[in-house]
Amino acid sequence: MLEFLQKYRTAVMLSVFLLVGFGLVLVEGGQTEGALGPLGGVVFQASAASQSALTAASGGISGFWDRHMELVRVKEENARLRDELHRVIDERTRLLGVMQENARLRGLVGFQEDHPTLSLLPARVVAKDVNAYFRVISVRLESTSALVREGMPVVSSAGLVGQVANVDGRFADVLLTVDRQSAVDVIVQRNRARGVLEGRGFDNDYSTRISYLLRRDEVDEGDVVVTSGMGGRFPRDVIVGRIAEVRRQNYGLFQEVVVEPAVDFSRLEEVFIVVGDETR
Amino acid sequence: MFNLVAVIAGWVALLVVGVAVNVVNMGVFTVNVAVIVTVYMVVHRDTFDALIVAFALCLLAATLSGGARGATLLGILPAIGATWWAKGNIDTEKLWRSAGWCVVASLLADFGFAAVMMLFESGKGWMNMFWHVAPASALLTGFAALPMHGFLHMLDPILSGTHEEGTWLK
Repeated sequence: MLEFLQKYRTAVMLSVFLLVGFGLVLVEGGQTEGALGPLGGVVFQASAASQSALTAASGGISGFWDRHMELVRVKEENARLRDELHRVIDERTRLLGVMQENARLRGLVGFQEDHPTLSLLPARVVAKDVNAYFRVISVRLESTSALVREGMPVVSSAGLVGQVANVDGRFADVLLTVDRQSAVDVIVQRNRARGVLEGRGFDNDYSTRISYLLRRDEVDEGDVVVTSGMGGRFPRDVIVGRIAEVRRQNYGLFQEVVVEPAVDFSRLEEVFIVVGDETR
Repeated sequence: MFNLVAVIAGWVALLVVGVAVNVVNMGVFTVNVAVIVTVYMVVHRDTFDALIVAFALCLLAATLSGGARGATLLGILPAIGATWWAKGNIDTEKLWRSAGWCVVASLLADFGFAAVMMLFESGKGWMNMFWHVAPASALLTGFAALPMHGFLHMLDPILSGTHEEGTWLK
Protein backbone atom coordinates (compact mmCIF):
# COMPACT_ATOMS: atom_id res chain seq x y z
CA MET A 1 0.00 0.00 0.00
CA LEU A 2 2.77 2.38 1.00
CA GLU A 3 4.67 1.36 -2.07
CA PHE A 4 1.62 2.08 -4.22
CA LEU A 5 1.21 5.48 -2.67
CA GLN A 6 4.91 6.13 -3.15
CA LYS A 7 4.79 5.05 -6.77
CA TYR A 8 1.67 6.97 -7.70
CA ARG A 9 2.03 9.82 -5.24
CA THR A 10 1.52 12.53 -7.83
CA ALA A 11 -1.64 10.95 -9.14
CA VAL A 12 -2.87 10.40 -5.61
CA MET A 13 -2.14 13.99 -4.67
CA LEU A 14 -3.85 15.21 -7.81
CA SER A 15 -6.88 13.10 -6.94
CA VAL A 16 -6.97 14.53 -3.45
CA PHE A 17 -6.64 18.00 -4.97
CA LEU A 18 -9.58 17.41 -7.27
CA LEU A 19 -11.72 15.71 -4.65
CA VAL A 20 -11.19 18.43 -2.08
CA GLY A 21 -11.54 21.10 -4.70
CA PHE A 22 -14.83 19.87 -6.09
CA GLY A 23 -15.99 18.98 -2.60
CA LEU A 24 -15.39 22.48 -1.38
CA VAL A 25 -17.00 23.93 -4.48
CA LEU A 26 -20.09 21.86 -3.91
CA VAL A 27 -20.15 22.62 -0.19
CA GLU A 28 -19.50 26.31 -0.59
CA GLY A 29 -21.53 26.60 -3.77
CA GLY A 30 -19.19 29.31 -4.93
CA GLN A 31 -19.96 31.41 -1.90
CA THR A 32 -17.32 33.80 -0.76
CA GLU A 33 -18.80 33.83 2.71
CA GLY A 34 -19.29 31.07 5.19
CA ALA A 35 -17.83 29.23 8.13
CA LEU A 36 -14.07 28.86 8.08
CA GLY A 37 -13.96 25.86 10.33
CA PRO A 38 -11.71 25.48 13.35
CA LEU A 39 -8.44 25.28 11.37
CA GLY A 40 -9.46 28.11 9.05
CA GLY A 41 -10.39 30.20 12.06
CA VAL A 42 -6.96 29.70 13.61
CA VAL A 43 -5.22 30.55 10.34
CA PHE A 44 -7.41 33.57 9.86
CA GLN A 45 -6.81 34.82 13.39
CA ALA A 46 -3.06 34.34 13.12
CA SER A 47 -2.93 36.01 9.73
CA ALA A 48 -5.10 38.90 10.81
CA ALA A 49 -2.90 39.54 13.83
CA SER A 50 0.24 39.41 11.68
CA GLN A 51 -1.25 41.70 9.07
CA SER A 52 -2.35 44.11 11.74
CA ALA A 53 1.23 44.33 12.98
CA LEU A 54 2.52 44.71 9.41
CA THR A 55 -0.03 47.42 8.69
CA ALA A 56 0.99 49.30 11.81
CA ALA A 57 4.63 49.04 10.79
CA SER A 58 3.92 50.16 7.26
CA GLY A 59 1.68 52.96 8.51
CA GLY A 60 4.73 55.08 9.29
CA ILE A 61 6.16 54.49 5.83
CA SER A 62 2.92 55.21 4.07
CA GLY A 63 2.37 58.27 6.28
CA PHE A 64 5.79 59.55 5.35
CA TRP A 65 5.05 58.90 1.70
CA ASP A 66 1.66 60.62 1.96
CA ARG A 67 3.26 63.65 3.58
CA HIS A 68 5.94 63.71 0.90
CA MET A 69 3.32 63.54 -1.85
CA GLU A 70 1.32 66.24 -0.09
CA LEU A 71 4.40 68.45 -0.02
CA VAL A 72 4.97 67.82 -3.71
CA ARG A 73 1.38 68.81 -4.44
CA VAL A 74 1.70 71.89 -2.23
CA LYS A 75 4.90 72.87 -4.04
CA GLU A 76 3.22 72.53 -7.43
CA GLU A 77 0.20 74.45 -6.24
CA ASN A 78 2.47 77.10 -4.76
CA ALA A 79 4.26 77.57 -8.08
CA ARG A 80 0.95 77.76 -9.92
CA LEU A 81 -0.47 80.28 -7.46
CA ARG A 82 2.73 82.36 -7.64
CA ASP A 83 2.43 82.52 -11.42
CA GLU A 84 -1.20 83.47 -11.09
CA LEU A 85 -0.34 86.14 -8.52
CA HIS A 86 2.26 87.65 -10.84
CA ARG A 87 -0.26 87.68 -13.64
CA VAL A 88 -2.86 89.35 -11.43
CA ILE A 89 -0.33 91.94 -10.22
CA ASP A 90 0.63 92.71 -13.83
CA GLU A 91 -3.02 93.03 -14.75
CA ARG A 92 -3.73 95.21 -11.72
CA THR A 93 -0.81 97.49 -12.59
CA ARG A 94 -2.06 97.79 -16.15
CA LEU A 95 -5.60 98.52 -14.95
CA LEU A 96 -4.34 101.15 -12.52
CA GLY A 97 -2.51 102.80 -15.40
CA VAL A 98 -5.67 102.69 -17.49
CA MET A 99 -7.71 104.13 -14.61
CA GLN A 100 -5.23 106.95 -14.07
CA GLU A 101 -5.14 107.72 -17.77
CA ASN A 102 -8.91 107.64 -17.80
CA ALA A 103 -9.03 110.16 -14.95
CA ARG A 104 -6.59 112.45 -16.75
CA LEU A 105 -8.55 112.23 -19.98
CA ARG A 106 -11.77 112.95 -18.10
CA GLY A 107 -10.09 116.05 -16.72
CA LEU A 108 -9.07 117.11 -20.20
CA VAL A 109 -12.61 116.56 -21.45
CA GLY A 110 -13.84 118.62 -18.52
CA PHE A 111 -11.43 121.39 -19.50
CA GLN A 112 -12.81 121.39 -23.03
CA GLU A 113 -16.37 121.62 -21.67
CA ASP A 114 -15.35 124.58 -19.50
CA HIS A 115 -13.75 126.31 -22.48
CA PRO A 116 -15.98 125.47 -25.46
CA THR A 117 -14.59 128.25 -27.62
CA LEU A 118 -11.09 126.77 -27.68
CA SER A 119 -9.87 124.37 -30.36
CA LEU A 120 -7.57 121.86 -28.66
CA LEU A 121 -5.00 119.52 -30.17
CA PRO A 122 -3.94 116.67 -27.85
CA ALA A 123 -0.29 115.88 -27.23
CA ARG A 124 1.58 113.47 -25.00
CA VAL A 125 4.57 114.47 -22.90
CA VAL A 126 7.64 112.47 -23.92
CA ALA A 127 10.54 114.28 -22.17
CA LYS A 128 11.25 116.93 -19.56
CA ASP A 129 14.04 119.24 -18.41
CA VAL A 130 16.72 118.45 -20.96
CA ASN A 131 18.53 121.64 -19.97
CA ALA A 132 19.17 122.89 -16.43
CA TYR A 133 18.62 126.52 -17.47
CA PHE A 134 15.26 126.05 -19.08
CA ARG A 135 11.96 124.62 -18.02
CA VAL A 136 10.92 122.94 -21.22
CA ILE A 137 9.05 119.72 -21.99
CA SER A 138 8.88 117.81 -25.23
CA VAL A 139 5.52 116.62 -26.47
CA ARG A 140 4.42 114.28 -29.23
CA LEU A 141 1.44 115.53 -31.16
CA GLU A 142 -1.42 113.07 -31.50
CA SER A 143 -2.33 114.35 -34.97
CA THR A 144 -0.98 116.60 -37.68
CA SER A 145 1.39 119.35 -36.67
CA ALA A 146 0.37 121.63 -39.52
CA LEU A 147 -1.88 123.65 -37.22
CA VAL A 148 0.73 124.09 -34.51
CA ARG A 149 2.75 127.29 -34.44
CA GLU A 150 5.32 128.70 -32.08
CA GLY A 151 3.79 130.70 -29.24
CA MET A 152 0.55 128.75 -29.11
CA PRO A 153 -0.73 128.22 -25.57
CA VAL A 154 -0.50 124.79 -24.00
CA VAL A 155 -2.97 123.73 -21.30
CA SER A 156 -3.86 120.72 -19.26
CA SER A 157 -6.95 119.81 -17.31
CA ALA A 158 -5.45 121.58 -14.29
CA GLY A 159 -4.68 124.83 -16.05
CA LEU A 160 -2.09 126.70 -18.06
CA VAL A 161 1.08 124.76 -18.91
CA GLY A 162 3.01 127.13 -21.11
CA GLN A 163 3.48 127.90 -24.78
CA VAL A 164 4.91 126.14 -27.81
CA ALA A 165 8.59 127.05 -28.18
CA ASN A 166 9.24 125.24 -31.44
CA VAL A 167 7.76 122.52 -33.64
CA ASP A 168 9.58 119.81 -35.53
CA GLY A 169 7.50 117.21 -37.31
CA ARG A 170 5.21 115.54 -34.79
CA PHE A 171 7.23 116.79 -31.85
CA ALA A 172 7.15 120.15 -30.15
CA ASP A 173 8.97 121.83 -27.26
CA VAL A 174 6.78 123.59 -24.73
CA LEU A 175 8.17 126.46 -22.66
CA LEU A 176 6.58 126.07 -19.23
CA THR A 177 5.16 128.99 -17.31
CA VAL A 178 7.82 128.38 -14.66
CA ASP A 179 10.67 129.11 -17.10
CA ARG A 180 12.54 132.37 -16.62
CA GLN A 181 11.73 133.40 -20.18
CA SER A 182 8.01 132.83 -19.78
CA ALA A 183 5.72 135.85 -19.31
CA VAL A 184 1.93 135.59 -19.14
CA ASP A 185 -0.52 138.40 -18.59
CA VAL A 186 -2.69 137.37 -15.61
CA ILE A 187 -5.32 138.73 -13.26
CA VAL A 188 -6.29 137.79 -9.72
CA GLN A 189 -9.72 136.24 -10.13
CA ARG A 190 -11.20 137.75 -6.95
CA ASN A 191 -10.48 141.44 -7.63
CA ARG A 192 -9.26 141.45 -11.24
CA ALA A 193 -5.88 142.89 -10.13
CA ARG A 194 -3.53 142.57 -13.08
CA GLY A 195 0.11 141.60 -13.41
CA VAL A 196 2.61 139.58 -15.39
CA LEU A 197 3.34 136.00 -14.39
CA GLU A 198 7.02 135.12 -14.75
CA GLY A 199 8.91 131.91 -14.09
CA ARG A 200 11.52 131.86 -11.36
CA GLY A 201 13.56 129.05 -12.89
CA PHE A 202 14.61 127.53 -9.59
CA ASP A 203 16.29 124.14 -9.76
CA ASN A 204 13.94 122.33 -7.43
CA ASP A 205 10.97 124.61 -7.43
CA TYR A 206 8.27 125.06 -10.06
CA SER A 207 6.96 128.29 -8.49
CA THR A 208 6.25 131.49 -10.38
CA ARG A 209 5.80 135.12 -9.39
CA ILE A 210 3.60 137.98 -10.49
CA SER A 211 5.44 141.14 -11.44
CA TYR A 212 3.98 144.55 -11.93
CA LEU A 213 1.13 143.95 -9.50
CA LEU A 214 0.28 147.30 -7.98
CA ARG A 215 1.02 147.63 -4.26
CA ARG A 216 -2.41 149.06 -3.60
CA ASP A 217 -4.14 145.95 -4.97
CA GLU A 218 -5.32 143.82 -2.07
CA VAL A 219 -4.37 140.20 -2.73
CA ASP A 220 -4.12 137.37 -0.24
CA GLU A 221 -2.62 133.92 -0.10
CA GLY A 222 -4.96 131.41 -1.74
CA ASP A 223 -6.35 133.81 -4.30
CA VAL A 224 -6.80 132.16 -7.71
CA VAL A 225 -4.80 133.60 -10.59
CA VAL A 226 -6.11 133.26 -14.15
CA THR A 227 -5.03 134.41 -17.56
CA SER A 228 -6.31 137.83 -18.55
CA GLY A 229 -6.55 137.17 -22.28
CA MET A 230 -4.83 140.45 -22.99
CA GLY A 231 -2.00 140.38 -25.45
CA GLY A 232 -3.90 137.95 -27.64
CA ARG A 233 -1.61 134.97 -27.07
CA PHE A 234 -3.29 133.16 -24.17
CA PRO A 235 -7.05 132.60 -23.90
CA ARG A 236 -8.73 134.28 -20.96
CA ASP A 237 -9.83 132.73 -17.67
CA VAL A 238 -7.52 129.75 -17.79
CA ILE A 239 -6.39 128.94 -14.27
CA VAL A 240 -2.71 129.56 -13.69
CA GLY A 241 -2.36 128.89 -9.97
CA ARG A 242 -2.92 130.19 -6.44
CA ILE A 243 -1.09 132.88 -4.58
CA ALA A 244 1.30 131.23 -2.13
CA GLU A 245 3.09 134.23 -0.70
CA VAL A 246 2.63 138.03 -0.74
CA ARG A 247 5.63 140.34 -0.21
CA ARG A 248 4.37 143.88 0.11
CA GLN A 249 6.89 146.61 0.93
CA ASN A 250 6.13 150.00 2.39
CA TYR A 251 7.63 151.69 -0.62
CA GLY A 252 7.58 151.32 -4.38
CA LEU A 253 4.81 150.89 -6.93
CA PHE A 254 4.53 147.12 -7.03
CA GLN A 255 4.33 144.19 -4.70
CA GLU A 256 5.88 140.76 -5.23
CA VAL A 257 3.60 137.78 -5.20
CA VAL A 258 4.66 134.13 -5.40
CA VAL A 259 2.23 131.86 -7.22
CA GLU A 260 2.07 128.09 -6.90
CA PRO A 261 1.11 126.75 -10.35
CA ALA A 262 -2.14 124.86 -10.67
CA VAL A 263 -0.40 122.34 -12.89
CA ASP A 264 1.83 119.69 -11.29
CA PHE A 265 4.61 119.79 -13.87
CA SER A 266 6.36 116.78 -12.39
CA ARG A 267 3.38 114.55 -13.20
CA LEU A 268 2.34 116.00 -16.51
CA GLU A 269 1.53 113.34 -19.11
CA GLU A 270 -1.10 114.71 -21.49
CA VAL A 271 -1.58 118.29 -22.63
CA PHE A 272 -3.63 120.22 -25.15
CA ILE A 273 -2.26 122.78 -27.57
CA VAL A 274 -4.73 125.59 -28.12
CA VAL A 275 -4.76 125.92 -31.90
CA GLY A 276 -7.79 128.22 -32.09
CA ASP A 277 -9.90 130.54 -29.98
CA GLU A 278 -13.28 131.66 -31.33
CA THR A 279 -13.41 134.62 -29.00
CA ARG A 280 -10.51 136.26 -30.78
CA MET B 1 10.88 19.80 4.62
CA PHE B 2 11.37 22.43 1.95
CA ASN B 3 7.67 22.13 1.14
CA LEU B 4 6.92 23.46 4.61
CA VAL B 5 9.48 26.25 4.15
CA ALA B 6 7.84 27.18 0.85
CA VAL B 7 4.38 27.21 2.41
CA ILE B 8 5.55 29.42 5.29
CA ALA B 9 7.36 31.74 2.87
CA GLY B 10 4.21 31.89 0.77
CA TRP B 11 2.06 32.59 3.80
CA VAL B 12 4.36 35.43 4.87
CA ALA B 13 4.28 36.76 1.31
CA LEU B 14 0.48 36.59 1.36
CA LEU B 15 0.42 38.68 4.51
CA VAL B 16 2.89 41.19 3.09
CA VAL B 17 0.97 41.45 -0.18
CA GLY B 18 -2.29 41.90 1.72
CA VAL B 19 -0.82 44.82 3.61
CA ALA B 20 0.97 46.27 0.56
CA VAL B 21 -2.23 46.22 -1.49
CA ASN B 22 -3.88 48.20 1.27
CA VAL B 23 -1.01 50.67 1.74
CA VAL B 24 -0.19 51.29 -1.93
CA ASN B 25 -3.89 51.23 -2.81
CA MET B 26 -3.62 49.00 -5.88
CA GLY B 27 -7.38 48.70 -6.17
CA VAL B 28 -8.63 45.30 -7.29
CA PHE B 29 -5.24 44.18 -8.61
CA THR B 30 -3.11 41.90 -6.53
CA VAL B 31 -0.16 39.54 -6.64
CA ASN B 32 -0.93 35.83 -7.07
CA VAL B 33 1.46 34.51 -4.41
CA ALA B 34 0.27 30.90 -4.64
CA VAL B 35 1.11 30.90 -8.35
CA ILE B 36 4.60 32.28 -7.74
CA VAL B 37 5.50 29.62 -5.19
CA THR B 38 3.81 26.84 -7.13
CA VAL B 39 5.66 27.71 -10.33
CA TYR B 40 8.92 27.65 -8.40
CA MET B 41 8.09 24.24 -6.97
CA VAL B 42 7.14 22.76 -10.35
CA VAL B 43 10.25 24.14 -12.00
CA HIS B 44 12.81 23.32 -9.32
CA ARG B 45 11.21 20.34 -7.58
CA ASP B 46 8.56 18.01 -8.90
CA THR B 47 4.83 18.12 -9.52
CA PHE B 48 3.99 16.22 -6.35
CA ASP B 49 5.74 18.82 -4.15
CA ALA B 50 4.13 21.57 -6.19
CA LEU B 51 0.67 20.06 -5.64
CA ILE B 52 1.22 19.89 -1.89
CA VAL B 53 2.45 23.49 -1.64
CA ALA B 54 -0.25 24.75 -4.01
CA PHE B 55 -2.90 22.93 -1.99
CA ALA B 56 -1.79 24.58 1.23
CA LEU B 57 -1.24 28.05 -0.22
CA CYS B 58 -4.52 28.07 -2.14
CA LEU B 59 -6.42 27.21 1.01
CA LEU B 60 -4.50 29.90 2.91
CA ALA B 61 -5.03 32.49 0.19
CA ALA B 62 -8.73 31.68 -0.08
CA THR B 63 -9.11 31.83 3.68
CA LEU B 64 -7.41 35.23 3.83
CA SER B 65 -9.38 36.59 0.91
CA GLY B 66 -12.71 35.48 2.26
CA GLY B 67 -13.64 32.14 0.71
CA ALA B 68 -14.18 30.25 -2.56
CA ARG B 69 -11.52 27.74 -1.52
CA GLY B 70 -12.72 25.06 -3.93
CA ALA B 71 -12.58 27.35 -6.95
CA THR B 72 -9.16 28.59 -5.92
CA LEU B 73 -7.89 25.01 -5.62
CA LEU B 74 -9.30 23.89 -8.94
CA GLY B 75 -8.31 27.13 -10.67
CA ILE B 76 -4.61 26.67 -10.08
CA LEU B 77 -4.54 23.20 -11.66
CA PRO B 78 -4.30 24.48 -15.26
CA ALA B 79 -1.39 26.66 -14.17
CA ILE B 80 0.39 23.64 -12.66
CA GLY B 81 -0.24 21.57 -15.75
CA ALA B 82 1.02 24.26 -18.09
CA THR B 83 4.09 24.87 -15.95
CA TRP B 84 4.84 21.14 -15.94
CA TRP B 85 4.65 21.23 -19.73
CA ALA B 86 6.82 24.36 -19.88
CA LYS B 87 9.43 22.78 -17.68
CA GLY B 88 10.02 20.14 -20.33
CA ASN B 89 9.88 22.50 -23.30
CA ILE B 90 11.11 25.88 -22.12
CA ASP B 91 14.18 26.48 -20.01
CA THR B 92 12.15 27.84 -17.13
CA GLU B 93 14.87 27.22 -14.57
CA LYS B 94 16.40 30.60 -15.31
CA LEU B 95 15.15 33.37 -13.08
CA TRP B 96 13.86 35.71 -15.78
CA ARG B 97 12.05 32.90 -17.57
CA SER B 98 10.51 31.46 -14.42
CA ALA B 99 9.34 34.94 -13.39
CA GLY B 100 8.03 35.54 -16.89
CA TRP B 101 6.24 32.20 -16.85
CA CYS B 102 4.50 33.33 -13.68
CA VAL B 103 2.63 35.90 -15.81
CA VAL B 104 1.21 33.11 -17.96
CA ALA B 105 0.54 30.88 -14.97
CA SER B 106 -1.23 33.70 -13.15
CA LEU B 107 -3.47 34.28 -16.16
CA LEU B 108 -4.26 30.56 -16.31
CA ALA B 109 -5.00 30.37 -12.59
CA ASP B 110 -7.28 33.41 -12.76
CA PHE B 111 -8.98 31.97 -15.82
CA GLY B 112 -9.46 28.62 -14.08
CA PHE B 113 -10.88 30.34 -11.02
CA ALA B 114 -13.25 32.45 -13.11
CA ALA B 115 -14.32 29.41 -15.14
CA VAL B 116 -15.12 27.33 -12.04
CA MET B 117 -16.98 30.26 -10.49
CA MET B 118 -18.88 30.79 -13.73
CA LEU B 119 -19.84 27.10 -13.86
CA PHE B 120 -21.10 26.97 -10.32
CA GLU B 121 -22.25 30.60 -10.13
CA SER B 122 -24.40 31.49 -13.12
CA GLY B 123 -23.70 34.59 -15.21
CA LYS B 124 -20.91 36.17 -17.26
CA GLY B 125 -19.81 38.50 -14.51
CA TRP B 126 -16.88 36.31 -13.56
CA MET B 127 -15.39 36.38 -17.04
CA ASN B 128 -15.84 40.13 -17.28
CA MET B 129 -14.03 40.46 -14.00
CA PHE B 130 -11.31 38.12 -15.30
CA TRP B 131 -10.64 40.42 -18.28
CA HIS B 132 -10.66 43.42 -16.01
CA VAL B 133 -8.42 42.10 -13.27
CA ALA B 134 -6.26 39.29 -14.59
CA PRO B 135 -3.84 41.06 -17.01
CA ALA B 136 -2.62 43.68 -14.55
CA SER B 137 -2.53 41.17 -11.72
CA ALA B 138 -0.51 38.79 -13.89
CA LEU B 139 2.04 41.51 -14.63
CA LEU B 140 2.29 42.34 -10.94
CA THR B 141 2.74 38.66 -10.22
CA GLY B 142 5.57 38.47 -12.77
CA PHE B 143 7.38 41.40 -11.16
CA ALA B 144 6.89 40.02 -7.67
CA ALA B 145 8.16 36.61 -8.81
CA LEU B 146 11.67 37.98 -9.38
CA PRO B 147 12.53 38.65 -5.73
CA MET B 148 10.34 35.80 -4.50
CA HIS B 149 12.00 33.17 -6.67
CA GLY B 150 15.38 34.60 -5.72
CA PHE B 151 14.45 34.34 -2.07
CA LEU B 152 13.17 30.79 -2.41
CA HIS B 153 16.32 29.85 -4.27
CA MET B 154 18.39 31.08 -1.32
CA LEU B 155 16.28 29.01 1.05
CA ASP B 156 16.33 25.91 -1.13
CA PRO B 157 18.92 23.52 0.34
CA ILE B 158 19.24 21.56 -2.87
CA LEU B 159 19.68 24.46 -5.28
CA SER B 160 21.62 27.02 -3.28
CA GLY B 161 25.31 26.40 -3.80
CA THR B 162 24.91 23.21 -5.71
CA HIS B 163 22.97 24.56 -8.64
CA GLU B 164 24.71 24.55 -11.97
CA GLU B 165 26.89 27.62 -11.90
CA GLY B 166 26.32 30.49 -14.22
CA THR B 167 23.00 29.38 -15.60
CA TRP B 168 20.33 30.36 -13.13
CA LEU B 169 20.71 34.11 -13.16
CA LYS B 170 21.17 34.39 -16.92
